[in-house]
Order: sequence, then structure tokens, then C-alpha cells
Amino acid sequence: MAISVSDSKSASTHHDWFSDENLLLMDETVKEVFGVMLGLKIELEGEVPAGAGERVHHEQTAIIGFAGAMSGICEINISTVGCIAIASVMLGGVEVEAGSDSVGDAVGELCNMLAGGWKNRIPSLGSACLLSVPTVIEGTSYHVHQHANATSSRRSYKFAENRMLLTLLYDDPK
Amino acid sequence: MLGTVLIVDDSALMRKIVLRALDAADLDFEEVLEAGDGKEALKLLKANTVALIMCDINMPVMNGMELLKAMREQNVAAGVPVLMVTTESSAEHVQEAVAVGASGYVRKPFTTNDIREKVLALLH
Repeated sequence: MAISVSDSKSASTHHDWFSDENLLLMDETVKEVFGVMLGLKIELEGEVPAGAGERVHHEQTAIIGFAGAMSGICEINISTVGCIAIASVMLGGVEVEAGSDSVGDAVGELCNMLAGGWKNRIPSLGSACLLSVPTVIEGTSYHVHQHANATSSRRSYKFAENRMLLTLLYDDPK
Repeated sequence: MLGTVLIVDDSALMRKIVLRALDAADLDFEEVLEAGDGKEALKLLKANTVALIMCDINMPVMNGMELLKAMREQNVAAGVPVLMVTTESSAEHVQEAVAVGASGYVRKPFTTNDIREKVLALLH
């Protein structure tokens, strides 16, 4: 499956949305969401090169679209085992089976909170940028096409024994 | 008993999380209704009397803002408090939601205390 990031007509002004300062705001958002919603400690492992066409690492992916002042996506990628752990914690410790709707819902909702929490921390994006509903993909046989002028940032985080890859991508009109 | 609560969110998992937060906060609702989007919620509101609506904003088919507008235009569940439970929490979004009928806001991620405080403030 291929997913394209659409052209933006409104994002006509150049912004460095992925400045060091804004990426630190994503780290802050990740820690808040995992801490408040899951009671889990999560640490940044580091930046990961996010090349066009690169295969994803884990089986569960959620993608949220940004539209408005910034046109792009927030994508998170977690193993099924990690998503089961997240869904179980979200539901108060109940057992969650692989393949249940809760697994996909968990990664989708997590992506929603991360994308929304991040853009709301950036004053120029808060109300000027809207979120799509999450798209959840199970499996690794896909890649996200980037336009030539797309700017991306990928970061790896570690929680418990699991990892989350978080990719931010936007169409840069520069 | 606090009557009937309607939880509106396209994520079944998030509806369960909200319900769990209500239980953990000792908010004892007599009945819980669930809807996956605004259209389903509107249908339930026309057929049931509810004490509280807890509603997401970003949903397919009919989003939370559209639900608030439809409730107002069709005079459905007039006077029933609506607590928005959402990631869309900028000041402008809050103002827009309040302008079309929202009574309060809980930002995701939330704690049980966040839910308890906001719900009690609306029901008492």
C-alpha cells in the first residue's frame, strides 16, 4: 500500500516546524501522554534517519493528517506486543488479545493524542492546524511516499521493553 | 445515581477509557449509552433522556462540533450539559465549542481527577 501526502495550497509561507525547539515539544508531549494516560515512563532514544521509501519496523502503525497552517502527517509505529501492552494499560489491566479492535484503537488514539498535544503546544499551529481521524495500518508492507519538498523527522522512543518510532512529515513550500 | 450518560467517540477503546474513568471517580451513572459519531449520538438523544453528554470532536460522519450545532438547530437535548473530551484544546477551539453549546472541556490525555472535577461541576 502507498500513502501520499497531499499538496497544500494554504501552507504558502516557509516555517521550520521541526526546529529543535518544536521537536523538544514533541518529546514533552510523548512523556506527558505516556505518563498521564498509561502511567509509563518513556525515553527518547534518538533521531532515526527517515528516508523516502524506507520500510517500517513494527507491525502496528497509526497516521494522523495535519491540514491548514501545516500540511503533513504524524505517524507512529509500534510492535503488536507493545500495542497490546498499551491497550491493556488503557483498559485498566484487562487482557487484550492480538487482533482485537482494542489494539488498533490504542495505536490510533495514542497517535491522536501525540499529534494533537504537539500542535497545541505550538501557538502558530494550535487552532490554525486541524487533525484528521487516525488511519490504522496492521502489517509492514507499505511505505509513505514523500514529495520532493517534504521535510521529515523521525525519533525513536523506548518504553518498558518496547519501542515507538514517531515520524513527523510536512510539505515545505520553500 | 446520576441518570444516563452518553459517551460519543469513534474509538471504542476511548469510550471504555472514559467509562472506566467515570467508575474510578465514583460517578455512579444509572445507564451508559455509547455512540461512535455525532449522527448516532443525535439518534440516541432523540430517543432517550440523558443527564450528561461526553463528546469527542474529531470523528467521522458527524464530528463533535457538527453534533452540537445539530442539537441546537433541532432543539435536541436542550439544557443537557455537554463535556468535550478531546485533543483539540486550543483556546480558539474551546471558544468555538462553547459558542455552539459545549458546557466544558477535558483535554486528552486526562486523569480520573480531571473527569471527576469537570463532571461534578456540570451536574451540581
